[in-house]
Amino acid sequence: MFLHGYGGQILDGTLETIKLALLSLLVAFLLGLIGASAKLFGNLLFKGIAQAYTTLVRSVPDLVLMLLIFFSIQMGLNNITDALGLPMLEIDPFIAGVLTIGFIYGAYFAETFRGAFLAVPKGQLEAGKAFGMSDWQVFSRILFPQMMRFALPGIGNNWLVLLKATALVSIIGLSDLVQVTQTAGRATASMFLFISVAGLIYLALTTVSSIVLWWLEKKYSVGVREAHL
Amino acid sequence: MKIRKILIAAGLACSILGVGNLAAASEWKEIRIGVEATYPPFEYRNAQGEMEGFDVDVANAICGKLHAKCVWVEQSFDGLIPALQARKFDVIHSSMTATEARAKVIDFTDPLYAIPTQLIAKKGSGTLPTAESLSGKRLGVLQGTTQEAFAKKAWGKGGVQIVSYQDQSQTYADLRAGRLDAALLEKPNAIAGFLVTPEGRDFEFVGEVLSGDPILTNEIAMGLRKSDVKLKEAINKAINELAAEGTIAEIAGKYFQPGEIGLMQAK
Repeated sequence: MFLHGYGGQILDGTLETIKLALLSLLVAFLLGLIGASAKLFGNLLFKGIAQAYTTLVRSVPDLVLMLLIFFSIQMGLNNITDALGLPMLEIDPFIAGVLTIGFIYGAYFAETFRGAFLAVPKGQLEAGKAFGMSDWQVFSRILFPQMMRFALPGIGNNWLVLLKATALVSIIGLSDLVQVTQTAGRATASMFLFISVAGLIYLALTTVSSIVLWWLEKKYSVGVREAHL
Repeated sequence: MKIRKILIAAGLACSILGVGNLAAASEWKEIRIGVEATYPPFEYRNAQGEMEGFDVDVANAICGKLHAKCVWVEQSFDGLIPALQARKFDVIHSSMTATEARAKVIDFTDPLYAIPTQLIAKKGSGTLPTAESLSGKRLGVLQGTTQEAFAKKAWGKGGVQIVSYQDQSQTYADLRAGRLDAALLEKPNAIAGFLVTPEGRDFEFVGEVLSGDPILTNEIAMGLRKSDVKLKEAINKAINELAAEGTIAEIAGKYFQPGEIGLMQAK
């Protein structure tokens, strides 16, 4: 039988991986924007916080952070709810996974965005101000659309790493693609087959991602003339 | 601020004494069991996605005795003890050996069964489970197991190269690739996970089941938080009843050949 009957579970695992990756991307994207803005335009306090965030997160291994957030925060939370006589607040593994991956990759996105922000000529922002635009208008109409063009190659990189980093969540008990294929491989004693299947599915996901990124690059390059030599 | 600190301190004291858990422990509607479902024939997911295996059936029988429902929570083996302490579930039942080191952190029920240890090697290789025969050869073991501890203690100084793996499937892959000359394994997993599969057809058990060293006892029990005394007593009672009725032996007959695992006598 094809895939020894584990096809359905592998499909579920793939969907879980996609959901996890997209939601984590959303969290990471927002955190990245906030982090980069704080580093470039914030006051001393915000700058300090953003600097501490990117430094700390990028220097601790993902796996360590994952275990720390999932288990240690739960134990701390238990102590607090016990002390207050409340029922246990259980951290859902899926939400924990999304927040942890988003939190980790937000730090990488912050640096990607900071580089892209710096690539937009300062005069453009000053011109916006001179036209009487508010800070938000300058950001959303001038800075963001232009910086995205510079950020996209870095975003593509981060996204592909993030997509594969979702495999880490199998340690906190989520049935993602890696976990499901490992389980199937061991139950049927055909590990190699299922590892190959997982690899091919990841390849398919990254291929689709590349197409979307190509389209985004085209969209954000509107109005930019390229010289052909 | 001060009042909150006192409250938290009082709560901590309560949870240490187990007072906080009494209300929840007096009756069990469901028992949440942590498991790594990747170890056939003890625990694994079948193609329908259902939990199956010897441990699973025994746990269901125990839950039946307690008029509770078993709820399975999957967790990687390394994460089982931290997750138990974080109360992600109430019981660990994942073919975990009740070692002294683990017993310092969590409590174990009465042992359910013991798993024998045996050496496997290529058919006709003439390898034997002795330091002389294995000297200069590469021996695979699973990290953190009884087999690893025994191999290091008994053969480590005799020139045997001991290679520890994180995952049994890696041991099997390296046996096939010829990077290992032999592997010291838990007998039932060696059969179900390797010898009966097409990949393991060139391999066989060599020598008898190992015995004689207290580490080789390798008794499997369920793990609980040290504060859950009542649940532990209830499970122990259920285990002993099931053993006396012959239910555990009956379930074992479904999964194992005689002698593949050692069953415990009822107390």
